[in-house]
Amino acid sequence: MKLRTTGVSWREIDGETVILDLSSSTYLKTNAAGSTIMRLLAEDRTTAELADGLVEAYGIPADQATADAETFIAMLRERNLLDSADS
Amino acid sequence: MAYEAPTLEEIGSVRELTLAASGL
Repeated sequence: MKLRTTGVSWREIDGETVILDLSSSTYLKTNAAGSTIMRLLAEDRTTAELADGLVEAYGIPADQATADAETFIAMLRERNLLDSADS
Repeated sequence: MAYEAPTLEEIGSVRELTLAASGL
């Protein structure tokens, strides 16, 4: 899976990520851990790779990282921010 | 770095924030 590239613009500001979704004309933001995942999702990634990114960045247990990555992916999917080929 | 689970939240609409920026 990876982030949708059409109609979505995003950049990091002070460790958070601000996202402009032109399809819904809304701004969204993530916290620091969300930014870690957003950076990874600029390329095609598996859930395991995203969880590994959280473990590496924050030293949290792998099972917690997996659960948190899955929850965040669900949020992105709900907002239609992932590439449609992944849905 | 202290860890908080990833969050995604809406800040507002483009229109709302454009108006705010003027006192896209």
